Amino acid sequence: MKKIVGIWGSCLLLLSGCSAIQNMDVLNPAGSQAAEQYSLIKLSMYIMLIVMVTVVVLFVRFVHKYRARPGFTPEKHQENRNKKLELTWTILPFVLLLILAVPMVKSVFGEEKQDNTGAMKVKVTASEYWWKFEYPEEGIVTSQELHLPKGKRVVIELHSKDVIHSFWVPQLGGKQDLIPGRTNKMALTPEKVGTYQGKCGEFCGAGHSFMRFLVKVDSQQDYQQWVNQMKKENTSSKLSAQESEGQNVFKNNCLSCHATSGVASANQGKEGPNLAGFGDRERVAGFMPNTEKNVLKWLKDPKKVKPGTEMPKAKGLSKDDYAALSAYLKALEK
Amino acid sequence: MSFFNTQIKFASDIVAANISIIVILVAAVIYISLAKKWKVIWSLIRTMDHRKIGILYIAWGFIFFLRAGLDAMLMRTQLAFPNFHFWVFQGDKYDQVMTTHGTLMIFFVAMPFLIGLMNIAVPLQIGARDIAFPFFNSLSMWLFVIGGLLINMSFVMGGAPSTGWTSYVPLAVGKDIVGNGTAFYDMGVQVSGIGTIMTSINMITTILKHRAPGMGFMKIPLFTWSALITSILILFAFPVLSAALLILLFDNQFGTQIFSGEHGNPVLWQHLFWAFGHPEVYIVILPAFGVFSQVISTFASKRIFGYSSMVLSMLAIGFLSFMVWIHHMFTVGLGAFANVVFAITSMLIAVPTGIKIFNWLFTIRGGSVRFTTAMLYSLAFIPSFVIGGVTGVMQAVVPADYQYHDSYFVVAHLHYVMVGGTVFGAFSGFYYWWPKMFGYLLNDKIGKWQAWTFIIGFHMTFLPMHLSGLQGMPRRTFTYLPEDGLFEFNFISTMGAYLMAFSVLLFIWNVFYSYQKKERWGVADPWDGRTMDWAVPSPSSHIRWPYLPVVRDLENLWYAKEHGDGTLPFSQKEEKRIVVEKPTIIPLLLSGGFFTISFGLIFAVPLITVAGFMGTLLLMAWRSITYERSIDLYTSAQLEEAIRREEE
Repeated sequence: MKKIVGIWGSCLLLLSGCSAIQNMDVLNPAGSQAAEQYSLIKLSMYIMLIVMVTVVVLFVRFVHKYRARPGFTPEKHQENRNKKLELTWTILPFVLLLILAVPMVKSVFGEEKQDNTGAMKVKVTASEYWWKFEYPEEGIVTSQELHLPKGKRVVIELHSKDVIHSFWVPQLGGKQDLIPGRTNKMALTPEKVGTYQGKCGEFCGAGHSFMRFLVKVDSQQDYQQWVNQMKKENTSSKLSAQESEGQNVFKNNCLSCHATSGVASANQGKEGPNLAGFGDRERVAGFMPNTEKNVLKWLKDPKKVKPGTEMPKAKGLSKDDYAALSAYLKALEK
Repeated sequence: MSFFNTQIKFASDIVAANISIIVILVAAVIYISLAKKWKVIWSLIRTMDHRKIGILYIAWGFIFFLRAGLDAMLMRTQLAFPNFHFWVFQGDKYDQVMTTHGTLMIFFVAMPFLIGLMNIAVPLQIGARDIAFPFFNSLSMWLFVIGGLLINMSFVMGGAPSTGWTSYVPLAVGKDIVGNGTAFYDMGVQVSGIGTIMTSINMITTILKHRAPGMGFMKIPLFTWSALITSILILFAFPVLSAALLILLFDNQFGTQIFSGEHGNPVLWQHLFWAFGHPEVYIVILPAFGVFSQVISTFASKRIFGYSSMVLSMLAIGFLSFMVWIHHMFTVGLGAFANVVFAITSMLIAVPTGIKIFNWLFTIRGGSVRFTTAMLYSLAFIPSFVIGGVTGVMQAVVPADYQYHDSYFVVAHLHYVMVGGTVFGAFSGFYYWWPKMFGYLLNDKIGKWQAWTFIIGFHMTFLPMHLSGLQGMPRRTFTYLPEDGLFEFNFISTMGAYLMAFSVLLFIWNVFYSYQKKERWGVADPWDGRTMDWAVPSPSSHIRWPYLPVVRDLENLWYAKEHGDGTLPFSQKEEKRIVVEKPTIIPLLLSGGFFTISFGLIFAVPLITVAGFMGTLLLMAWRSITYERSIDLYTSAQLEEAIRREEE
């Protein structure tokens, strides 16, 4: 029996070792909030390791030493109470918990008291199953890809249009819920340039698994350049013949919900995600690589690709129409 | 097909489910007929015997366990590979299976397993002739069965609940519902909840009023103590759930907008649900603690270490369990102060739980440990539960919980306490009390294989989930992307889940194998037991103890073994009025009434609901009028005579 346990145990360690635990998202922070959360996770892990080791050592020793076997006689005097021991394992846990609770309380109130003057503002609105990102100070809107400058504190205002969602970028910071009828706030301070995975944390229905987004942290300069691009009214001036045909298809079928400009005023009343700069995005539908094949797959039958999505199937489009539409979307660049 | 205004689509999975339901029913009917067991079934469904009601609780719980386990297998298969398409289980089909798994496992597996064991062991441990209100007891059991059947049926009747076992609003009210999913969840849990509240009243009354002479509070065996405290928790927690479910029903069927809509407050549902939901966690763990205390003490051949601190820590856990619920809601944004207060109360629960762990360890010290299957489960519980406990404390650290919350880390944690605690406890209790239930032992060799495969499968399944959570896998997702780096963890989890499924099959085989062998048939005390449950014959008989046993010690049977020939002394008091309830079919019919009411409400057919109400009221009136005819009265002497006749 022990052998079996040993073999299974080592398989498990081997396999989990392969996928490089030290690179796990939560344990590899790229923002100051995530870093602080990580330090608390480490502290609690160390303290809990003490508890684990104590219990396992006693457990193995007692079970081994007092196992019934031929020639073994149990102790005559059977101890059923021991004030000193019982006091020890009542008081020591309090001490351990105190060591854990003090930095926890400090961290919670510390974050609450942070000064938000001069912080950048972003308004996030979640719907089934996509993310809208508004930059009120810049007057621009985007979706699915959140662009942030490195080293700047960002206050994020969280709204929901339908059910409860949760905003989670493991490498930048923990979650906060988006609840219909309420406004929540959280802050992120990205410290490293890079692209980070964002996910919906709270179960929100059939498409929950695909309610994902990306966070692109750029240098101050690159970020400013992106903002300037987004502020331009029209992103697609020089279109090929196929692309302008696609533009017509888009106008007839998609424009009622989707804006192709990042300017806030152009997005008024649009129910669907903003598509400005779609050609530069890494993903389509929030989770598939942005290739022509995937775009077509998505356009032809959205509900099959992403269960529960609100995006309808366009009616009466020919194969050429789809190709043109896809080409036009690809041409939506900065 | 249209069924009471609900569309039923015959997709491949629904057809497969329907076929398997028919096959199982036909096979059951043929088996019962061939084995000539219809009489046994007829007497079983009318029984008032606490042992048989306990067995029915466990048997139905086990049926639901198989269904919920099948759901788990479907989920684990779907999650085995990135971007995998297993059969139809993506999107809301996965959500239906996931919700059914959670709802069944908590309300219709964990609860009946433990309530079943309480029914079997508590009256024997305290020297009572039966549960205080046997009729109530039977009705509670049938209400639980009806509730479970409603949840089970939903999948083939237009759609199972698909919004998670927590059924968060507004998701559970509105366009995301599949078929009548939320209504099925609502009524299924509501009806069984009524039964659970009645059971708690029954247990509290039994333990407070029906203890044998001499059994003061500090001579109550720990399993009975755990039953008492759990019942008190049920009595305070379940009405909150009932109220919340009622409001949810109103929001759903009558558009009252209390939790949802423009005027509703979705956070209110969360408060009510978790104000019930957190005590619920302790409701299903405390009786398991009780089982471990009995089993470890019996097989370490030693009195439990620190009995009074064991009782006090259970009381402390029960008390604290009502003021920690916000720790399920740290990310809702209730503010720093609320989060910190509830984080600290949550951390405090670790102290009494730790005390219990050390007391179990020191019960082993100085004893003589016999490794039976029951003991194996109890020993495996200790390190497993400590893992679940420490990850619990880690989640009480608010900022860290922003990362863990609603990720697979939480899935790992809750299964470590629910499986490593409750299910290990249930299996331990089954192996331990099986002779008291059926008169023979479960085979120990198969049992050990079963236990080891279950324990190893359990760790294989749930240990990697901590890591997939830290790698950013949100719970309740039906797939992940290849670049997420989650494949290895999920694949190991799936393999572990298959191993656990294999282990459950071994258990079923063990039940059939042992039924044929009937090892140590009728032995009253096969384990060298210490409490009074081992002083009555196996299986325990319905009428017993014309003169009640006198309690001299916490371990009353052990005391008799040490200070005499091992027989209990009996009271000389001649009792004038001993009530024994006659078997009756009314509880089953009453539960049928509740089923009709629920059916009408779920499919929004008021006429059926009214008919159900009328039937229920009529049956209640009938029971009240015929009460005098439905009981047998004995004096002590007459009961002694009746027992002698039965033995002949």
